[in-house]
Amino acid sequence: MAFDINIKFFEIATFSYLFAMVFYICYLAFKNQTVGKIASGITYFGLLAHTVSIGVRWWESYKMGADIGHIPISNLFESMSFGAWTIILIYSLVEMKYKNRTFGAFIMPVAFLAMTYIFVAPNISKGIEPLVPALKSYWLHIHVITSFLGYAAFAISFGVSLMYLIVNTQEKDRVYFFWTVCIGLVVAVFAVLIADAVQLTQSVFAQGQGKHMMEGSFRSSIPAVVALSYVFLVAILAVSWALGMKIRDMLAGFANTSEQLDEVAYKTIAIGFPLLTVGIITGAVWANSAWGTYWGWDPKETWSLITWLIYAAYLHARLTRGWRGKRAAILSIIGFLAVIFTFLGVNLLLSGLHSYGAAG
Amino acid sequence: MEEQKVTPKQVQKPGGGPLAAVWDFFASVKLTVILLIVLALVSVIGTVIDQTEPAKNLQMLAGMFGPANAQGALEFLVKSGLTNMYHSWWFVGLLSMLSANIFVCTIERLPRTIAIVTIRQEPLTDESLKSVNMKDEKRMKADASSVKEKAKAALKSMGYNPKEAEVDGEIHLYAEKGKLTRWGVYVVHASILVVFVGALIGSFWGYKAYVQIMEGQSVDAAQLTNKPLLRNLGDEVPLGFQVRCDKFELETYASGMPSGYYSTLTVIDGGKEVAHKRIRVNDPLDHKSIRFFQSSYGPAPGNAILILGISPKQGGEEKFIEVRQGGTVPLEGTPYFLNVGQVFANVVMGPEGPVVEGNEYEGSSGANVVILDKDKNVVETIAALQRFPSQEPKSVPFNIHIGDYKVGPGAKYYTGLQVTYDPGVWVVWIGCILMVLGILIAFFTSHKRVWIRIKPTDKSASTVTIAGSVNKNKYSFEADFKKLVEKVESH
Repeated sequence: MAFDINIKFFEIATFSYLFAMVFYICYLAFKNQTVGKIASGITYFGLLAHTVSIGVRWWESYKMGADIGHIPISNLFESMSFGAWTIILIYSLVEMKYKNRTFGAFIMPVAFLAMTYIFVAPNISKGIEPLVPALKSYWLHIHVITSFLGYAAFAISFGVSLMYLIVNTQEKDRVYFFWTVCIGLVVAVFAVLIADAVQLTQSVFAQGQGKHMMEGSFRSSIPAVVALSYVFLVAILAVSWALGMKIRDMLAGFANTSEQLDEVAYKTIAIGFPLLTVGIITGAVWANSAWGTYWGWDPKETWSLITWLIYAAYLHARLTRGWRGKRAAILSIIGFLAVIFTFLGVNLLLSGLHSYGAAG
Repeated sequence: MEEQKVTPKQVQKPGGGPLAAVWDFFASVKLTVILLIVLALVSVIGTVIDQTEPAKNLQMLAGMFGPANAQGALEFLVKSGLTNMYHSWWFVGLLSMLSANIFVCTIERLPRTIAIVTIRQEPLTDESLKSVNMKDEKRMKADASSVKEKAKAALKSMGYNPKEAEVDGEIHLYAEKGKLTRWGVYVVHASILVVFVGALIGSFWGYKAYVQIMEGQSVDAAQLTNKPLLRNLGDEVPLGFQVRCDKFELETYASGMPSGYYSTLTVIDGGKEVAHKRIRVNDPLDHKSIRFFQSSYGPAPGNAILILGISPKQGGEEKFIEVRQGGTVPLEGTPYFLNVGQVFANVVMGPEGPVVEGNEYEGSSGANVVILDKDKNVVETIAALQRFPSQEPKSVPFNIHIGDYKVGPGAKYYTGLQVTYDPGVWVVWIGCILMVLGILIAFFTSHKRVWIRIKPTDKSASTVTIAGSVNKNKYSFEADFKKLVEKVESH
């Protein structure tokens, strides 16, 4: 018996998020309420499929053996899937509370990219694995769940802050440059993942799987492909820069969003920050019970602290220094970049105790 | 947003001149934001430069400055504290500045908060009505006293405990709740200082050590791996009691991967067996605040069969030979013999070579391999490893590494225990609990104030003015305020 029903549902969820994203973008472009409702419907459907995927994976792990069964948040695939699930869940709640569908176009790509990335990355195992002894702890579960709830809140703050910068653009200044580059990079990551997906299907037929990310683009064995990738990257950034004003005009049609965006960005950070704090503390409790040290300055711990420091700076700047609007939005975006690095950069680039969660 | 005029008492500043300047420097929140961002930035350095083993940075440095300059660059890193930067004077200095910043800001702002919290709420005046967040006015066809009863009930149903007053024939009801929120931020800031104090206590008087106990044997001291700053203990810390390993058990998944390992330990204190526990990775034994963590294991001497890979230094095919621990075998093609000493399951590369200190994720199996001449005299001893490069023998033209090792059924093990003593850890946890509580109070509660003024216009009609103020979370207060207005003004 193959234990991969969870993967089927995972795929359904991933494609749902892709379609939802397309519909959310169309909703912005055509301002048609029906399109918006379809987008929300697909999102809820995807969330349902994703929930089933996680539940089935949990069940399947117990089917594999009573000693293997565990809540599916222990390796990179499981925790990123859980993270994407949380993003969609919190986003759905925000959408309902604020009765505003305009954020969707900015949140769905984050979740979809996370899902696609863990699916395409050749060195991330998608299988259910038994837990090594140190990971069998309830503190670990609280640690992972609170951390990811926090990360998801920050992801939403990121999308909304980006939107804030776009809506409040008057001219092609430095802030304009900043957010067009951000959008360009997101598009570039999309292209890289698609290239990897194509490369993956090709190489499966040829001689097994690829070994690295970006083998279909920047790290291809064919020099021409590498060169072309850089040309494309520059082209995407240039197009993003050239079309930025069009994106702004598209969003400008939605009334009174500016203050609300600022508010949502702050609110989600105000929710994410306590969660991240609890995540770091429960991680420390867990480390103390497993290794006898609550804080060891390993890269993962340090990066979670860096993220915490950035958002702490955001809160101080906003609450006591009166930072609102653009400056706060930029800090929120930088905070989320630190979140991404805490999770992916550390696992893929730096070493440390958390290497059990690493690719491989 | 503060609608009440509050004149804080002047804070006593220490002296004048330079001291006052230092005080003012630390009293700024701008400094806080700068310190937080600087701490975030410098922390990045320590995640790029390996902090555990300085030598691990050689490869990266060789890539940056060329292999010839790598050693010099590493020495520079070590000297400037960058390979142990979280304990360097300048990082500790930044943390001290943050502490001073928190302390001074607290002293500066506390009087103002005390004034806000202790000031008595006054009935609504036309003057104060101008500065509230929300207001509503309506003429109602009801006499003042029935409106008052209704308003009182409405306030009580929403968790307020209203006070009453009559001013110039007008009836006043006013109430406030959630004053506690004003202290939230102080709790958070104090909690950070508490965590720092806990960490300092740990590094001054706490230690970390490692000890191996063979099954059936006991120890009364452990090798220090992290020495306390304010206690002179030498290399070995006496435990003050004895710990015996009664039994070691290893469980594996069907794949052979270890799924758990357990040591049954007995503490003998003052000649009596005082504690007994089967420990596993996440579940240590605790006696007199000294904790014993299951960290590694390995076969006891004479209980393992080692598979050694022998490869010619000039290149060529690798051959594998089996040696029982403690046993001696001839090294083919040379007049020498190999003897295998203790086998370790968890070896990592330290700055001066391999050390038995790792855990099951980063460690390698390792063994001391002794090279003997034909008269069985020791020529040299090398550390042979499985996952890291072994030490290169000088006397023979072969490299020797560990292919694997086997343990026969019924073989005896030793258990590797990490020993920690941290008297500050409880202080750290208290700080953490305070931090979470403080953040919850600061973010999710708010100081709400409401006023209701009822002005009788004639016998059966009155004008009701409802006002409300909140120090944060304005949007959720707006909904609350609307509900209050509806309840008071409904028929």
